Amino acid sequence: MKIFGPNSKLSGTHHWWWQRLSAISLIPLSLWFVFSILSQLNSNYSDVIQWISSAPVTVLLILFFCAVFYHAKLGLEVIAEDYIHNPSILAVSKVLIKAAVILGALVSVIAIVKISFFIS
Amino acid sequence: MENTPLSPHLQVYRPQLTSVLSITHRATGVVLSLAGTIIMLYWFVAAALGAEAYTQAQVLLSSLFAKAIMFGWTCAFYYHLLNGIRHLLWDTGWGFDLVTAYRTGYLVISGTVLLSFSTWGIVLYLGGG
Repeated sequence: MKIFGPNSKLSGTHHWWWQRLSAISLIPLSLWFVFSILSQLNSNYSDVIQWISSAPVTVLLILFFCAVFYHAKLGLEVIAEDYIHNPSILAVSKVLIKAAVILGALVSVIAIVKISFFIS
Repeated sequence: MENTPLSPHLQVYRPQLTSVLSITHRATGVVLSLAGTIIMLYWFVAAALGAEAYTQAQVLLSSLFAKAIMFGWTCAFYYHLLNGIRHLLWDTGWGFDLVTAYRTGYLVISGTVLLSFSTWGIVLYLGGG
């Protein structure tokens, strides 16, 4: 997770700070995202491509997806730590959470980059 | 590890507004990270794959069932956002007393309902959704 945080073995304080930082940045980002996406759902293909390709939208979408998957990782980790008491199942779950959010972030960023730079 | 005492003892614990709101924050977080991201990824990936895949996704997402899911997603989003702000305020040390905790709790619930309905009202009025 070098792209998102200082390192993957976050200490408790680090975890706490990154959780809050991602939460605060997601307040404006997620409001913008939800409004935009709900307004775009009925748009035709060329309008949607044009919307995603405009520079500020491309940047905001990538920022949003990175923040949201990172925030999801931190939140799901805490939930797993609280409810899974078997140490090996917990370890496997944390690896799965990490793999899922990395996959999600990669897929979303690749989709947006492809639309912005290779379709329009 | 196995003998660690758990608190609260869920079998003998009477749910209160504050505890229900707390578990709902986690539940909406899980819903948003699973269902929410899958729908969003599907829409963006379809757009990235081309006009045909996008049109197909649009047909699927325009059904009444999909719209109901999207409305539920909007409610989960606003709940998690508003209650998240409540948590951030607690982090600053504000609002921990019982009266304020209940007051902000009710604010989160009414804010979620109000914002979800007005968002969809605006979106449908503008021709989206």
